[in-house]
Amino acid sequence: MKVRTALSQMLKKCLYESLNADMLERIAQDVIPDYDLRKRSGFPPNIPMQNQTAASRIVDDVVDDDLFLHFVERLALLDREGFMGRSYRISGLRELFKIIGGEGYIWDADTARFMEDSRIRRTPNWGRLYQGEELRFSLLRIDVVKNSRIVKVHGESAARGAYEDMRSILSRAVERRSGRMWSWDGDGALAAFLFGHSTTSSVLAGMALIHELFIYNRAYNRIGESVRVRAAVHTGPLRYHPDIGEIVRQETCREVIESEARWTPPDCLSISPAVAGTLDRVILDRFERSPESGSRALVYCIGMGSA
Amino acid sequence: MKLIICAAAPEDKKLVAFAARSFSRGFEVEILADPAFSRSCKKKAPDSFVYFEAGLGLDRVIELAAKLDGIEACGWGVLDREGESADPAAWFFAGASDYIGPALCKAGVGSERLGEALAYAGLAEERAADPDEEAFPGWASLEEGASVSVRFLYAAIGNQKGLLERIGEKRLDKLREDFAAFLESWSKECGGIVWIRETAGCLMLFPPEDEGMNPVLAAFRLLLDRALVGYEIFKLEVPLTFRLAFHAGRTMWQRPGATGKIVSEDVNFVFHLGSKAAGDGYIVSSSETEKAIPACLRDLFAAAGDFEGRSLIASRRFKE
Repeated sequence: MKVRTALSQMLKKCLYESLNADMLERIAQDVIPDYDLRKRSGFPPNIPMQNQTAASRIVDDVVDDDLFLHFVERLALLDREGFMGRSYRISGLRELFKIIGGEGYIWDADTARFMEDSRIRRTPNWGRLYQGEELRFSLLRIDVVKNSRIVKVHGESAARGAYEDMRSILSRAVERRSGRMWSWDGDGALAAFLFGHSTTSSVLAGMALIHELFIYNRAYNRIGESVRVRAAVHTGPLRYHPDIGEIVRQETCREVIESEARWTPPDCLSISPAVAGTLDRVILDRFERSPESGSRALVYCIGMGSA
Repeated sequence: MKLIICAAAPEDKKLVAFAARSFSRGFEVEILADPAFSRSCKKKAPDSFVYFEAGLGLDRVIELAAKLDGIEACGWGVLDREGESADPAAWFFAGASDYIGPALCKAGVGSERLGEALAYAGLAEERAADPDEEAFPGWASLEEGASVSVRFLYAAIGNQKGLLERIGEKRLDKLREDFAAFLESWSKECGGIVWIRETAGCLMLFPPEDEGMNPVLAAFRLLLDRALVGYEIFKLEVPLTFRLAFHAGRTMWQRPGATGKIVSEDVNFVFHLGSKAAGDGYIVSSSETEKAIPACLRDLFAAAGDFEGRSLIASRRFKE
């Protein structure tokens, strides 16, 4: 995030009006591990440091490290929950949030984090994740069934058209639920969810995809053969990396890929037990045990009875 | 579809005026002299309906009509403006599909009549659409009190008794209000409006022809998405479903909110259909709206008996 001078000045003011230098350093250490205020500022230990000087140094450092939003989030937590049983009121926090909102970031109360406003821009890291940041993500994995056969039978151009349609259906389902498309390689995709009720959002996005493809294959598909997918959702810790290759090597991602490939029938969405445990009953009741033996996954498919 | 008039004197001003007055809306009309028609009918007659002037005489008309044998999508009739034919039935014995006598010529012939003639000739599918039907002027332009042809959709929240037990009266009332507000924007995507709001459900109107998304397809999608709609839009922690009933017919137009004095058999019927014959989780439709069901969904519909003298079709039910 590019931090304007006025915004960083405002944060400095909030800090020195609310916290002393020791507390400021303590909070900074939650965002930048092993942060040493005196080392960074060159102040010898025997000279007392003014709050204003400490605030200025810390804000400049978090801006330099691209951790401005992370630091404000920590401040918001301090304001809300206090520290070691003591409450701290951060003056001007509301105004600060307003200005950050004007910069295109919205506050997500569920995760107590800022995320980029999807109406303004959509980036894979929600405009705020840094490489190596470990968080709990919910992943939606999609695989196109018999992709190579579709390309072989209908030709590359026709297949590409159908896949582009599918991509836009998937993007709509994912992004309207604050998710992000992390990869799309023609025959499959990976989408990630972090904000709001991320596991519920990823499951609803998967269900919406299955529904939309049902309509698409009947009403709009021009290749004359249904585009079928297998979709799976799993949640777990993941270190963010801008390179998708680094992401798919991680355990959580490997598990969702395996769940899609091994336990999910075509035209269905499967969810892992970790995901099932977070869902409200009204959604969970739509899922059934996977027909594959040995699977602990639950599966959602469109079922039709008689008229 | 093209209309050809074969006449002894094609330049006759009265004939030209009659053709313009009667057939110009929705059809391309060409008037040809007998010899010109004879020469060019193989080329011009496919996908057309030919009116021979009675003045040409029965024998000559039979001769010319014989040239139409084997021509694709072509029928013929007789135009008798002067009442020259003493025995109109003779034309039909000779194979004609229509006879327009002097009285009808004077009263005025419309594209509707031509539609009937085409239907009689077995060419109904080739009939050009009535431009009056195509040009739906939009809800804001409809005249209060005018009779309009529309498609109706009665939509209600399903299993309201069960919901009452599970979420209570207050929340159910709020849900009904939210549902009606939701339908306002939902129906707009199909060029429709919410016309009458009642406690149990809403009656929506859609133009006779699709404007935007087909309403049956949209209703089908709504049923598919019922769990998502209930959870994400109405924030319900209990299952939600809908009952949906389609019908097509005519009604007197009044703007929404001023519909208290509407007397319409079709409005009455669709309310009965929605409240008595429709069920939760599927679409029921009168045979009048059967043609509004897109081909891609036809296999999901089946005959569902009769209701108040009309035959019904219903969609398959999604498994809960």
